[in-house]
Amino acid sequence: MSELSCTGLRKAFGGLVVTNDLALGVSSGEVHALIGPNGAGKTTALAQLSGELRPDGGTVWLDGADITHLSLPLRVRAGVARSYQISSIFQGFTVAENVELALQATDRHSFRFFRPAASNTARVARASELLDRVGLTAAAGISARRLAHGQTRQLEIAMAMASRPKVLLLDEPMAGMAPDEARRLADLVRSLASDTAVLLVEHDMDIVFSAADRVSVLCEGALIASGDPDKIRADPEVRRLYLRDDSEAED
Amino acid sequence: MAEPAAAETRSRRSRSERDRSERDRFEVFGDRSASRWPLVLTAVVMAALAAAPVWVEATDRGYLVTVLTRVVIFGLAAMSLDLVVGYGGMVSLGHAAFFGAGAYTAGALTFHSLDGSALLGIPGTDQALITWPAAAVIGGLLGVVIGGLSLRTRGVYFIMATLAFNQMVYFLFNALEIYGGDDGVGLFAAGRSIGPFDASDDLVFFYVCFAVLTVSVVLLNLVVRSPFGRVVRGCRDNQARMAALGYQTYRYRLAAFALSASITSLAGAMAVTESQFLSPTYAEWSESGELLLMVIIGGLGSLIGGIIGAAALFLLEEFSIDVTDNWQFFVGLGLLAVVLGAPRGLTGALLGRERRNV
Repeated sequence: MSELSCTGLRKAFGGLVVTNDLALGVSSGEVHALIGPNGAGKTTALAQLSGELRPDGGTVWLDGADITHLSLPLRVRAGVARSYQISSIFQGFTVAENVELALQATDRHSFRFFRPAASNTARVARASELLDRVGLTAAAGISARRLAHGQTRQLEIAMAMASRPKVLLLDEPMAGMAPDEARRLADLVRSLASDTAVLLVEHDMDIVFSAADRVSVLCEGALIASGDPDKIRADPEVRRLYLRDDSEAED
Repeated sequence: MAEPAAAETRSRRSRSERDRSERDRFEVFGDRSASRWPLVLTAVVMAALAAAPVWVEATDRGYLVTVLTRVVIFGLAAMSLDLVVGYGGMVSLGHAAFFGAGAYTAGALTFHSLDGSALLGIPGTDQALITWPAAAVIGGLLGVVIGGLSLRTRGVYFIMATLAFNQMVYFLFNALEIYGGDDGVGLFAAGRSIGPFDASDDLVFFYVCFAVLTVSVVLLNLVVRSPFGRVVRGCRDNQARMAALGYQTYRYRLAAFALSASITSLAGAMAVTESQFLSPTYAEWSESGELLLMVIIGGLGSLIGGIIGAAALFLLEEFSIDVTDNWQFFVGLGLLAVVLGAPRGLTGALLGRERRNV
């Protein structure tokens, strides 16, 4: 049982407080969704959990250890991996090479200078296993820049899974996907929770309520509600927030 | 009996056809890792370079052998710069510092052996089996220092940092009065001894340099395909993402930079042994620009492009200098043609853009 959590997390950009005394946790076996209107500070919170941003205050814990001052690469090694809202894959590599590069990050073979990277059969096999899991086997040999949008999201997840993370932070993995594609990816995310804790930042409410075990709502950097999906759906303040958000969106 | 067998044959054939069409589709999509053409081009260029001195001697233009030797030496430096710029995405405008460091390591050792004096307590030598490896080591160490500091900056600041270090090294060499200050010093009395051989003959010396180049071509092609090479390329494409995968990108970039510096320094030592003249011009920052020019004309991220670029530049100089003293004008035209018309340089123009050397 592993757990990533934060307590009293604070971050401000100038006078703008984007994370306000945030306490949040995610444990293995669960999908915990973090929702909130645009500009609520979801991505900023995620960046502090993953180690890209230093919080101004507060502590990030992994399995009871303080990892607040661990850099991004070291946090990956400790077991926290993330994917990006805007797909951030290696365009110049093939799909399989993208995953192999991700695998190589944690297998400590990266200071080998003379043996071809492609000759490591164990790594190649594990890469195709991961591609199989996210449903990209057929595309393994093609250049990553040829992937369709939805496929780049699948590849993102395969790469994030490569480090065998204890905790997986997914930043809007379904953004810009067709509804049935998004549903398939939601099923995939669901299935990942058997090995790892998943913190999911997501916009699409249908996906969130079907895939998450627990939902937390962020507004202006602070947590306004947290609980199981049914409870959140019924929460009057959440309803008000989202109704307001919808009516604004329609203007 | 015959029917099902025929059907099975048919189905097997159709499956293999399907496999093939699948493969073809991937090739259309440009699966670059499978392309062997860059290595074929590398072999062809190296073979042509090996045959070139024989050809120029046969056609009574033996004086061109020294030009070819310079193609080999500067091609080696440009190729190692390609590791940093083309594969690592680190645009160094300071590689002449390493070229110069190699030149001054070999040149100083040779100078003291002629002089009979000691260099920091070490007796001098003109033995290339000592001066060249010494230059490679010194260059690598200097690469760790300069790269270590420069890599703390990004983008245009990295370019400026490497340039600043280049200038510091250049003016340091200028201040070394013992080696003639900014005039430099001739080392003509020294032989070109390489182990038990005397390589004073220009043709012999060419093949010695060519052997060093060949080994380097093989090693660097292995390096860019290795796990290490993949990490370096990954840092070029998306450094932030590499960090998010768990890579401490700084050390890989620094290792690539130091390796490149070491090879460039080796080339600098070879250049002094070739010219038998030591001067700060080897470390001039315009030399950094010229190496960069060779890599860009030849094709970034191909390794062999550095050698092609060096050949193009030296041969253009050799043949247009008879026509006009302002041959650099044509170099400028050529560079414009390349950056506008063939972004992957001559290599890209020859192979097609998709077929990159990994």
